[in-house]
Amino acid sequence: MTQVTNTVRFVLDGRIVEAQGERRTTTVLDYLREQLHRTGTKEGCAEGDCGACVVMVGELNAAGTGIDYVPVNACIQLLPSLDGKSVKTVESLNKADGSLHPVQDEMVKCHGSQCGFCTPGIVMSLVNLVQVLPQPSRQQITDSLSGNLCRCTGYKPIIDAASKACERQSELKIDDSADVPLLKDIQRAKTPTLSLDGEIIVQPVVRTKKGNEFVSPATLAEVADYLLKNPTTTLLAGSTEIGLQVNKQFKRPDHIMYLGNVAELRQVTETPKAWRIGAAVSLATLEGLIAEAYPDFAEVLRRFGSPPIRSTATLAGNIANGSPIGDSMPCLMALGATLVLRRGDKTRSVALDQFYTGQKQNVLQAGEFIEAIELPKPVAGQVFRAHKVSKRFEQDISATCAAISYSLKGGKLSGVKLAYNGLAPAPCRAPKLEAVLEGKAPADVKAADLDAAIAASFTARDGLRATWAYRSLVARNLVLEFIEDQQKEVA
Amino acid sequence: MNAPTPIKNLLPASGVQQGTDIVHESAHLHVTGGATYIDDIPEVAGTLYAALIKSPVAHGELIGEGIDRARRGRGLHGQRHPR
Repeated sequence: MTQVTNTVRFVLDGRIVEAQGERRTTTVLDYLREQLHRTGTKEGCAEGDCGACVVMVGELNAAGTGIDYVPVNACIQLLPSLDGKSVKTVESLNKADGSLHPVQDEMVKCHGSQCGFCTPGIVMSLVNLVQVLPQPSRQQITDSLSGNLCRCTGYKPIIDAASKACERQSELKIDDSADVPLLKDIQRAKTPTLSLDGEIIVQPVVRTKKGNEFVSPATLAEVADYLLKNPTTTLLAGSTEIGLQVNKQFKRPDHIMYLGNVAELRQVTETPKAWRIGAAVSLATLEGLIAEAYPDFAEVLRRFGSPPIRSTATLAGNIANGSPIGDSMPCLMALGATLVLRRGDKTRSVALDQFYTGQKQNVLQAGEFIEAIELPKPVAGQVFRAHKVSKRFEQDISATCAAISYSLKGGKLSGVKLAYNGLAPAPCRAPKLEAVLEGKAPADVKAADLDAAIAASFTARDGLRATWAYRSLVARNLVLEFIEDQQKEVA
Repeated sequence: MNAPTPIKNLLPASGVQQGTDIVHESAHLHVTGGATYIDDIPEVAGTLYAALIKSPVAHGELIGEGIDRARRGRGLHGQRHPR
């Protein structure tokens, strides 16, 4: 446990790398390629879509005995967020005797590469997969590759290579025993630093001459304190949005606060009625949490983004970013989710459907942030359905995503909550449509009534993703499907 | 650096060619990240960058250059345009 400022320290293949004098917005990819000359990791799209830059990022497991890995898009991750973690690149697989990892070997034998540019990213996605799931199903293999675009070989030989590699169980684990003690060495203090008069001092990971900072606190108290003192700070969690702003819009936020090391924000706590999901909990963790209770929500999350996106991006980040086509929000609104907002030492609860005030506008005050999301668990008889409509199955922007929750009382729809994205400046409930449905038997719901409610609720607008004619038709048909299915189940 | 393997070395010793798998000559480099693409080659000191500035007007006539601001900055080495 040591405190070091202005140095980003991470473990790479049995050594500690100390990155000094880097900007707060240097990406992991640029550092790997330009400073460490690890050019096996490629830059394709520079927005976390193509997967040519996939590397594995490891953290010490809870027991401190080993390393847990997630696949990550190095192009959109900021280097200072790597502080205290370990990295594996495609070069990490090189062995002294020149032998290949089974994934690499079978990729060669199955003809899994043509131009080869996407190949290192594919290798790393698959190597990460077999660390976590040594015997994946074909579905799990294809899902692990949903964030790796190959545009010449085709996926069949790649999937075959993955299956073949898994027949060589004893060779799959990568040897990282040398990294574990080093990773322990570079952990920062888990408690706040206090000045002589008891004030919290948040030590920056990077601080520029101009006084701009990248901070990475370990406690909620530090986050709240820093935000009160620096209310314009950009909060960084999965970096799947900020990384894009840095790469594509050349944004350079003055102050960046990374939330990934805040233990309190990474927690999920549970009561009999609800989950309380910390603001730094990843979508991948959430997916596991809700898979059984809300399978349609889990399906939306699977299609939301690739494993490298889901393993870093957070639910709170999706909500705070407030994109009109944010996919988690319709599901959360239909389920009656509530946000816990914190400013200093005060918290308040705001229902998610009351959170947005316009396009990318919300009720957060200066210095206030999302601490947690409270998601109710299903109650007896509750039906939850959700579906995302997009051109590409995975990793695409929605034309619309709709979600509904209701129960049937005496054959009539009751307690209907319906929400959409893509139809308005922010994701929202659709009270006029809910009114059409409430108290009716599913068979008595008329398409024309839904159409009229849609026309009365939203401003017709053609968009890049879909025309209004398409969106409004899909919005209506999804409702019909959501309630029709249920009729069959009851009958 | 990574000279292509002569194709005869890739063919089976038996001489049978039809219907025989031949491993991609660069496959080993691809899967290890060792294949060198242009962007992977370290930059030579003094390398200059070029940027294309496209006309916003089709069939226009070039009457001036308006690059004074760029000249006042550092690092502009020159500009070329078709005549």
